[in-house]
Amino acid sequence: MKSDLSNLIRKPVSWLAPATPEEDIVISSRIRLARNLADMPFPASEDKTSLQAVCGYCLEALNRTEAIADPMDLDFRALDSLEKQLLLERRLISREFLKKNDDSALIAEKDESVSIMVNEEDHLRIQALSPGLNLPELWDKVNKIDDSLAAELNFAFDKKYGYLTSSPSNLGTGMCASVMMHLPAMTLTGKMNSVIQGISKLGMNVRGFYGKSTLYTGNLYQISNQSSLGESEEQIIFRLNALVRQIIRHEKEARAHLLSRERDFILDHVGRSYGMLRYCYQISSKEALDSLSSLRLGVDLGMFSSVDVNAVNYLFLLVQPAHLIYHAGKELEREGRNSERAVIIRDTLKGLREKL
Amino acid sequence: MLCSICGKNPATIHIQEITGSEKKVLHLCQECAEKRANEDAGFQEFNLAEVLFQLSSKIGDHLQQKKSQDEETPEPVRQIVCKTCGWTSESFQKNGKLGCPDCYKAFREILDPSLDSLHRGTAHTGKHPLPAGSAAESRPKPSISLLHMNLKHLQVELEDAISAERYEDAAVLRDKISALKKELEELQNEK
Repeated sequence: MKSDLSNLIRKPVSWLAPATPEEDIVISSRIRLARNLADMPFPASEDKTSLQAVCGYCLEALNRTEAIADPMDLDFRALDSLEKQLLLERRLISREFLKKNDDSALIAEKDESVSIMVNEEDHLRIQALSPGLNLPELWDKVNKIDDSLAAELNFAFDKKYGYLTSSPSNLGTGMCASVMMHLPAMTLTGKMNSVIQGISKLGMNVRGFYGKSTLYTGNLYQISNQSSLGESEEQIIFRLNALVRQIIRHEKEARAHLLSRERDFILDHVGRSYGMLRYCYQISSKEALDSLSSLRLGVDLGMFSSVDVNAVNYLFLLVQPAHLIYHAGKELEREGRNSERAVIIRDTLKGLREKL
Repeated sequence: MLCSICGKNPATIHIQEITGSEKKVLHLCQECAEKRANEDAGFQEFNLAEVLFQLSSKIGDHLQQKKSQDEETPEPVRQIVCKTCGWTSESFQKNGKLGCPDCYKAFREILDPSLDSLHRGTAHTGKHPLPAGSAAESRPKPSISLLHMNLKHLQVELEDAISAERYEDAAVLRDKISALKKELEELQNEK
């Protein structure tokens, strides 16, 4: 059962796949649909018998429809907390799902492009992930899975309210589209404040790398729709896409400004981070992510000649706790993790050459 | 630049905070930033509880109105209960979640006012589920609106590609656009 999971650690996730130069600002896109079965209590009810029945119906329907073409071999109920943490770091499950066990299930595509959580906050959470800015294709993907499941299952739906969800904040389309962006230059130039304010006025949400936290570790920002009712899926996606393109333009301008007007400042900033990553022997997760962000900015700005941007991207994932423990092959306390993290970073960056 | 808290170590982390219309920029060293991070964790989360707090005050209003309108009722109903699953308005206020699909009917009165502040509209305009049991073959073709959306996306990308002088990408996009236009025409002719 665990074979598929231990294989995961050996490869970068699909949403960190090679990005084209245009995509160096957008890391990944994700679309999630929340669906519930009619006439069944939501998971919040904690009605064990019903939830087990829901789990059974959903798994049966998933099997029959082959909505997941090549499923990963795993049994969610048998996973320990470290294995669940690994899935969280790879974004196959949500933080809330960590707490679930007996009455829940997880079905994921082997290539990690699609995952379906059964009995998270809603009966079904269908999500598709991809690298770069890719919302229309992701919508096409989850829409088809939703259609095939709707042919087998009777979803809770109301003409006025749309898809009925456990929390009214997901009501309507039940859709959450989100885009993970790397915005170091706008953060450095102090522009993110006004951008975040502007975004929330548009009915969109900004969150950090770890979901709900406000600390934007690694200068990573997740932009997503907050409103799911009153607009069609296409309208939400179109508005989010337009917003993201606007932010990309601002980030590019900020980068150009830093390079032309504050050259020493930005060279110093990237150089110090690089120096620390290259020669550290103990480093915390937050410090690592923030420094990796600066390094990635340096790579994007062409400051390093021989660099594999994918290796840097992969480090964003490898420096997280469960990945470190899997990588070390043994249980690690905080101190041990900080040392192991430093080893992995130093090893990866050995081949890097500065250009400027 | 030195850390604005301890004033000793060089500032390596720059944080901006927004409180209402007030804007603060902080330059911190690693040590002070970590302290701050621990203090601030989860502080500014999207606060559903706050929305629900407004909601609970609305329930209060509603009950009071009822009381004043109907003095003869000695004990006003303090709670709404969903007949299907037994979920109460109290548990909804506590965690912002509902117990079952029927709760939307049971709590309609307190839900409707809050939807307006949660969402951009109050009525669903998106997709509908296919009737259960309908065969895969009878599924509708790609909707015209979806194709239109894709077309718009591609056109924006084409403009971007041209302005960035990525002519190879532009050529690929141009071909995609003409294929999509053809598909759209065929669909419209069928109708």
